[in-house]
Amino acid sequence: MKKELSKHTLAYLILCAGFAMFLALFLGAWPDHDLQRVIIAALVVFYFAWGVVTHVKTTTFTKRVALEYGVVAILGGIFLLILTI
Amino acid sequence: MALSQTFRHLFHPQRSNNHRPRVLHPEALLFFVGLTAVFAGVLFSAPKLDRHLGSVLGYSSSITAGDVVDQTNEERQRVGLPPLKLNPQLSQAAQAKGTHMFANQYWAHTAPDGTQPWSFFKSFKYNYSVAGENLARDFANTGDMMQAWMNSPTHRANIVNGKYQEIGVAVIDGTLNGVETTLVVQFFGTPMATTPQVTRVAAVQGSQAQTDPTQPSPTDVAAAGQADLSLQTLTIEQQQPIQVAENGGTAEILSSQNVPITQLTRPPLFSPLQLTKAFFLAIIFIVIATLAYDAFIMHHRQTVRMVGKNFAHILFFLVIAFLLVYFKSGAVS
Repeated sequence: MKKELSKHTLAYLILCAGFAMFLALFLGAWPDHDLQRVIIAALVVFYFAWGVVTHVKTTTFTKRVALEYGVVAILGGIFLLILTI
Repeated sequence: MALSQTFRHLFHPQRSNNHRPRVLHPEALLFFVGLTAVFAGVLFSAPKLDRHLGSVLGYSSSITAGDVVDQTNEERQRVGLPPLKLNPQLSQAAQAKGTHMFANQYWAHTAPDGTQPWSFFKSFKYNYSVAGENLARDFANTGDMMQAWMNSPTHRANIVNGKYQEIGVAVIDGTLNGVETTLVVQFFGTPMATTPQVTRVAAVQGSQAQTDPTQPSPTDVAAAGQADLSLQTLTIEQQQPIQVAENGGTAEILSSQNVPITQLTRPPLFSPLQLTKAFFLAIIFIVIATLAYDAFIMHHRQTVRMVGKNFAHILFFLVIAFLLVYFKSGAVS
């Protein structure tokens, strides 16, 4: 884990900053569920893009990796989306 | 044996699953997406199919009208505004609005049949110069609901509006779209202060203060006889709100008799939110535990794979889990 973090410090810093921003925006938007849904969509896109860019830069990108990030992002997004309905 | 192999195939990286637990394959994650969608579909549609499920699924609330008034006035005092006076007519109008929403199964300022909130003010003979309405539903307590209103610029504008002098609040339990819930209707208003009728009301109140408050004074009777229906209702309601129901204003009869007020006979076993959270957290727990176990095993094997980063996925799902735990119910309108 430490090796992974030290190898890709910048990537994980960007990821953590994105998550922190998302948390602040999402909680701050309550109880405006419409705005929360927009923020969830932004998180889904952000996480998918982060995964693709990170793997492209480390030359470990495949279609299956992209699919994995896409599905993980959608799964997380759908959890939150249903809560806001 | 077969069960053990299946379990290993699902959760342990080995040759049969291409050295990645099957649960973490995109196909399996897609299955979770589908399962989540089915769960949500069942949760939202089941109460409509089975009316008895309404007593199982629902939002129980500790909100009281008194707390809503107190906290509204606290917010007003914070910005230097005078507190609002609780007006029984406004509260009855709010109760009628809430009952109308349950009876017609809607949640909005304007009813599907076009009924405006202001028509409830008029039904209870509340002649206003300015009026406003805040709605809320599914909140567990008054504090969360007030916070939600204060976070919303339009609702906050009503609460800290210096033009309002009076308030009426109704907290009503019932079934909306198949789910037991609590609706809160908050009406604001300022009565027409410059009309002759209101001057007469003030005189009646002043004279009654010096006599037996339980008996209508001669001035009261005289005022009621001279004034129009609006004045009579307004005068008596302000002094003895219980008698108004006995005297039977038209709007009061409609509210209490023709339109049933649904009440919770017992609190629901689960709220839809609790059930949803528990189900989603269970899936997240399975995925995070498998990701951590996979990372641990592969770290010791020193094997290179072309898969997503487990640590990033774990972080992502931890963020989602955090929000699931701390997500608060409730909606305002």
